[in-house]
Amino acid sequence: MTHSNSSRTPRAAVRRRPGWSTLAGLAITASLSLAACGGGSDDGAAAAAASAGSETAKPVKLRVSVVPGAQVAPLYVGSEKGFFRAEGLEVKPEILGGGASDITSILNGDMQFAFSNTVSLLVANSRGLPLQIVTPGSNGGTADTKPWNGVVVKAAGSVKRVEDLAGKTIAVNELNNIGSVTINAALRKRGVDTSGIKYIEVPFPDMNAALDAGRVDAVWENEPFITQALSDGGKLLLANYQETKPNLIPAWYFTSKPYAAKNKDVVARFTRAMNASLEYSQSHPKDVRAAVQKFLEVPKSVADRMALPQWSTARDASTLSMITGLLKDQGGLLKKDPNLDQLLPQAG
Amino acid sequence: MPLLRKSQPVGLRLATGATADTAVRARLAAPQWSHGALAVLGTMLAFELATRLELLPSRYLPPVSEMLSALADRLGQPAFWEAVGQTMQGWAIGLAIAFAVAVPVGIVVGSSGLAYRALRPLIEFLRPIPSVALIPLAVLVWGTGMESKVYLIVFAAFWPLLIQTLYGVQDVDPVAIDTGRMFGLGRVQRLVRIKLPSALAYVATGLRISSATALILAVTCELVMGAPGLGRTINVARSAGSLDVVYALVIVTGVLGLIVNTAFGRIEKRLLRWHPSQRLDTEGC
Repeated sequence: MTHSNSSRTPRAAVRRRPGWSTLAGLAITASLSLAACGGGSDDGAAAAAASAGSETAKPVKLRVSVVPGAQVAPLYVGSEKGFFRAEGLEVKPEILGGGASDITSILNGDMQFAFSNTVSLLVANSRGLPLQIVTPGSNGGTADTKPWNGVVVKAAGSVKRVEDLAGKTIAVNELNNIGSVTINAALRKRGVDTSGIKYIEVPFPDMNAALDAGRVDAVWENEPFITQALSDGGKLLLANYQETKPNLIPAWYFTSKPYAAKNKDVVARFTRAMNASLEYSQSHPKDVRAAVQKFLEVPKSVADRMALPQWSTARDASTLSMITGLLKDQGGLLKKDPNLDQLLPQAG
Repeated sequence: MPLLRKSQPVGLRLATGATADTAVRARLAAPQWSHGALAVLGTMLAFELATRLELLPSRYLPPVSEMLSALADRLGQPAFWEAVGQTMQGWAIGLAIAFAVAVPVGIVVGSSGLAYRALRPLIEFLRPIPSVALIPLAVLVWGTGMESKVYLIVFAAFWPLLIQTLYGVQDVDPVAIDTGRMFGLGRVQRLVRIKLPSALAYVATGLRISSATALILAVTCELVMGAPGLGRTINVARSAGSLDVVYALVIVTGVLGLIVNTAFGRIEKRLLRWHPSQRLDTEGC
């Protein structure tokens, strides 16, 4: 290192005066925080200005936070089909990394809309965060649809039947979230004792490797990893969304209450365009398969085979109340009751 | 090895006496680049074999040939070049800002005993903070886009440049300074004519270190926050189980790093042809 530099020290020692370092430190800290504030408010102003000039020539630019996965394909399909342009909107999907929170991005105005799962939204609402759902993000389907999400085990492993999951270790992407909550609910419906199940956290892309290596007995995963697992000696054991509740809504598009109050028109247009995209995607699997390949890096061979998520547009409050009940049952995951009328205003 | 040696102060490099030796040996042996190319090819071949023979699980580590074919596939896609552009844009802006701020600050702090004593504790406190630890703050204040990326790159790239400039200015040959003084050069002239040229080698090294740091931070921010660019594409490909694409893009980030480092090494050589630090050492980098 270029650290040691003795030639200068004697002079420095002679002229040493205390106090300067503190002063300089304060000055720099102050200027840094001022710069920080400036940047933030500029962004807010720009967003507000963009949304003010609504139906005129320039489309309203919206940043929408999404997760990497086929669930958000309708946003891309709808953009390509021009559903958003027809409403005077220009959506830019932003795929957040693990180090950024969609709810934070919505609250600080960085994004105008976001896609997040039901449990995260309920927990945020119960903590008093001003969030508002605009429309469903995906749909868990029914017993008649091919599951795009579920618990996978090794076909040759020790877990043969659903009942064998009692006391086993299951990997979920996030503890105490939609995965474990619905797995517990589905298992209890089948009369399985869930008290001894151990959940551990594994990122989705690493699930199959964890199962392979025997680090866990079962993994909870989405497509395309289910398709990959099935072709590598895996077995889909439990479709926990469907079994918890037919047409369960595991995730939603939402915005912040302050944004919704200021931009009623934009929210209504986004909701219409989003619903058109959801409906179109539900009935046009070919377009969805093309979109996941084009925008979400799914290889063609997998995109053509994987089970696609289901989508619906009904703002079905029953999922919210049911999951609220499950969260309360399963050991106090909610400190306070969420206010569902606030989270999902039926009028708007 | 030449990389490492060059970042050392001039005195140290001369003292080791190894430079002249290597230069002679380099002249006798085959062209320099052939060694590097051979090592790269050998490594790729070893990986290819290891995965083909399933010594390494090919499901989680695709063979090199598959990575390269995924890479070739990407090269024809506009989205790939857009991502490269986004990464390099953040890199360039961040590095430029860091340079524009760190070098003047380094000159001032390095030339003034008072400023140096005042700021040293602060510098020593802020410098070791990993930029990545500031991601939550950046996301909160600037969101997940270019601003956050640039802020974190500037923070990381600033310190090597500052420290190098600072020490460069301080580490001027005292005989040269005294000579200048004897010839009647004033404070400003001594700075411009003696200190700055002499410090230039340090600044150039700082720039090369910072350019690599800036690239690391650019990709990290994209991976962790989701700022648009190569890092984000890596994350998306990972979430889609496209491991060949993941590794193809990882190779791209490595190549970018190599290009950046080589480019700055070349510039350094050109600009500092006259400088003692460049005189003995003729091998490429």
